[in-house]
Amino acid sequence: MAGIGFELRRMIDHRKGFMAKVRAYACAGLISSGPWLMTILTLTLLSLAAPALGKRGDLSMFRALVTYAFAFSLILVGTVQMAITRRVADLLYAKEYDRVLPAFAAALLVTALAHAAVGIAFVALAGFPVALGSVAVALFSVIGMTWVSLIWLSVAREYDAVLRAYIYGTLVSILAMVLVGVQNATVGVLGAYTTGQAFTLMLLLRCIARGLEAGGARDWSVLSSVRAFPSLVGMGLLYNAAIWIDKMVFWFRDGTGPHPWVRYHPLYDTCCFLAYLTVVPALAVNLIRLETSFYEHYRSYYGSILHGTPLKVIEEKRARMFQNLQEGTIRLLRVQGAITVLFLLFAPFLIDLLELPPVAVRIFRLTCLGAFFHVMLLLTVLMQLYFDLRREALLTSLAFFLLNGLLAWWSVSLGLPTFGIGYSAAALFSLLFGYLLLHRRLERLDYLTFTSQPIDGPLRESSEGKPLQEQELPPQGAASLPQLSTSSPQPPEPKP
Amino acid sequence: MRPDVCLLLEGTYPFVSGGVSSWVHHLTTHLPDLTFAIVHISPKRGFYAKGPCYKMPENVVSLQEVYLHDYVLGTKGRPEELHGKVKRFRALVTDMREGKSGSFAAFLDALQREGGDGFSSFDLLQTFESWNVLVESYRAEAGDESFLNFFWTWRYAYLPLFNLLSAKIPRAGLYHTISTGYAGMLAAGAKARFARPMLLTEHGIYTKERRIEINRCEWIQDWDSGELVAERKAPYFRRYWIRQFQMMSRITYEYADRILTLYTGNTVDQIRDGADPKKLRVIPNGIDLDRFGEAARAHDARGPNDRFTVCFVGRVCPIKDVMTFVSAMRLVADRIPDVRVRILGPMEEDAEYAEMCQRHARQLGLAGNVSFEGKVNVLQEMPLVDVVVLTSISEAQPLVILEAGAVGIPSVATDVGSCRELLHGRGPEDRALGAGGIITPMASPGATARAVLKLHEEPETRRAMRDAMRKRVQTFYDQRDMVAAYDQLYRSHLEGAPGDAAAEAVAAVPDGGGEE
Repeated sequence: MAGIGFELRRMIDHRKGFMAKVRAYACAGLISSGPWLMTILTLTLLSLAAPALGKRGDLSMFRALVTYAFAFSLILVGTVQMAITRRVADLLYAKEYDRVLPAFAAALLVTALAHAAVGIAFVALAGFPVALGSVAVALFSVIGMTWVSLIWLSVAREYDAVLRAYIYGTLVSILAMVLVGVQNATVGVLGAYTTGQAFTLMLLLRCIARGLEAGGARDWSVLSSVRAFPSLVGMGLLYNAAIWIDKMVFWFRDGTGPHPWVRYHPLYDTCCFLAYLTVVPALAVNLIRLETSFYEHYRSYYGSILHGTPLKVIEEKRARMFQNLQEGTIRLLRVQGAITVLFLLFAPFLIDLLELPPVAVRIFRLTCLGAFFHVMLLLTVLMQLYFDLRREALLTSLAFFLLNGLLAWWSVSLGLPTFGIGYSAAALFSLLFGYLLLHRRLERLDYLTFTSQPIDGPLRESSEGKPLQEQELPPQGAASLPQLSTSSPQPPEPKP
Repeated sequence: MRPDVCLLLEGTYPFVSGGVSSWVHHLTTHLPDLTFAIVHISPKRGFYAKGPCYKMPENVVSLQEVYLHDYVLGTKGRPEELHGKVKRFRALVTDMREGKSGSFAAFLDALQREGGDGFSSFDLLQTFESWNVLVESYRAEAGDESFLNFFWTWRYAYLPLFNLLSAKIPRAGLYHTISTGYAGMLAAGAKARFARPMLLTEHGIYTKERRIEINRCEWIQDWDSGELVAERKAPYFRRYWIRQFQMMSRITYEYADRILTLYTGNTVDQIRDGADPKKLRVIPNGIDLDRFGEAARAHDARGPNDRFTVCFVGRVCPIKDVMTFVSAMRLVADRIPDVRVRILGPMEEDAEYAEMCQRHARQLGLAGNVSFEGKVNVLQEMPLVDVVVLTSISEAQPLVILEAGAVGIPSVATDVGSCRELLHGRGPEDRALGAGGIITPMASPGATARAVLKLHEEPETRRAMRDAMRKRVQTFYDQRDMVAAYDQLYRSHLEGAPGDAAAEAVAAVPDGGGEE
């Protein structure tokens, strides 16, 4: 993500004028929330369009399958996303561009195989008809590969291309649906939608292939990087699963569905997806700030350590970095707070507008609050990763996963009036927990930075300790702390 | 069975050849009734991959290596002990900074009381409590220096020390360290742990050699990196290391029951570094006189018209200042064009420096005169040598002067170590024998060349020096006397079972407050 900052700043600085700014912010929103936002947008649109489409046939199966494809592929890819991102950033940092494409090819192949395996197992066990099953597996795999491509493209800063690919893909989807899906209910619509997604994937892949120098066949080093950071894998899995666990609990304990294994909860799902949309501004602001002003302070802090400045300078830089973080957080709280309050106030109006039942007002308000906490939680986890506090990020994600699951269960048992309380409470408590962990660590940041150095000196090459997702940053780890032989002669033994 | 003597060695016998190594080898070989254990401090595992280069005698019953830079952090100790450990560590660090040594005993005592096994560097270097000690120390003395440099210096200063103090070394009748520094610290630790006597023999003064090494190494690196800030920056860390080594010497002196050295000059430095004059004693090295009879006869048979030969004997390394020797030989060759110059000694220790010396010789047009011959049997070559030259900037008691003297060759030597004592005599009786060579200032090619030319031009002086030197070596530097002196010293300390002077010395070490 670090690289994005420069690109964004360039866009803001050089293409002056309002539209350029809007475009930069739009990009930021897109990249920061990335796959999450894509999913929500698509699912919300589908939910809202359902009644209209439904008149021409039962589309519940289609909607549920798309939701499933997004949810499970996000969890599946999320598991390795952090580790892969880190590997690519490391390769770019080392300027080994010709190894990026092979690494990507390997990751893509593994992703496709994993998705196909999971997908086939699911449709086989659920006893889907062959045609529907095949299309579903295809969609599942395509979406998984799309997420992996997005990881690469965000590291490589190809935002225009991503945006274009999505617009064209969506157009193709709509066109195909109009042509085919109107007649043939589920398989047709799903097939049409899959075609559009596949088109997006194709555009993304073409862009990747063009942007990178071709290297060897496949570079499996990306897999060892997954092994090297088990905490990142665990964290990715838990965080992404946490986002979906409450919905799954609702689907299976209170939802409906066209098939015992394919279920959804129209009310809760729609409220959640709408609530997510309310935090898109926060995500955009958050990203811009993280990638520009905070990142500069962050770099300045580690730079002051590496350049051998006295401790008082390091402490000053650290204080400034924290101050910047604090100011940014407060600004974010204020902006998103205002937006959330607006949505809370106008919830009845909005619900009415969308022709949802009046009981949705309460649920929407609760999930809105939850999304607000959730976005702060995301910032906390990101900060944990910035400071390489992988264990803390893992613990925070675990807390979110457990709380969100258990509280959803509890809320379903208590009934309709409590819907949404689980999510907002889970997000709030995980936020507090994560913040405490982060705060405790940041108080000792100098100590942590130094004592995480390899014990036998700064010589050993290792990507361990390098901050996540950073390619331009002076990594805080072993690889770049200079050898300090001038001042620390490792004394050999003389012959007395 | 418990060995009688545990020798603590640093970068020497049996892995590296040289003066100290020959000395240790000789001593152990000639005291066959005593058993020895050797603990050798090596930089890293596998550093001496070739293994020992001496065949150790049978009475050396064990050889153990301790690795200075193979760090073992261990795991976090019990939190309730941490506070006490860090507190003693803080006291030690403060003392080191202020040039005091009082808290070392308490520190060591605490480490050992908590059990050699329970001790972990982790507690003292990786915990937040110990981090505070580092930061306090930085603020107290180095507030304007690079914090990163300070951090690494700190680690390199203390981690090896913890490594050593937690090493398991054998129980022995007494501990004998052949230097201060790391080996000295190890010996101090052993004495405290096992309550056995500890002897120290210092051939060269450790702090002096370290100082030369530190200054030299940092100069070179300042040049290499082109750092202009070196003027402002380097001296602090240089001072830091010198102080650190001085403290290690001071602690070793405090723990030693007897401090032996090779010549009077050393005792002055030792007293200045904190050694108690009452513990000091000079035991000079000697040589095996029987080995030189034949060489002496062959030397006497040398004809007056044989090619004039000047010889440098020693490791080709900066401390021997071979560059100055080569420059001096240029001046000699100006007057004696066919002079033969032989440099006998291993060149592996500092290959770069050896290469530089060879290049220097070629550039001075000495290719036809100078030969670098590596490690050779010096005794065999001695008869054909007219003058032996030493240009060292530091020496202890160079045996080559005695060996040359036994053969009948006068030496030209810089005024370092015991060179003056060896060539002009130590006591009145010794001095009466007359000069056995010429003393020159160090780093002075002109003076060295003039001395060599004087010996070339005045055969009578050469003869007078030959006679004086032969007599002096026979009277005062018989190896058997040295071995006998150590034999007697060992036995007197071994006899004293616990309860004698050694144990009393341990008891006298301040306890430092025990456990709280």
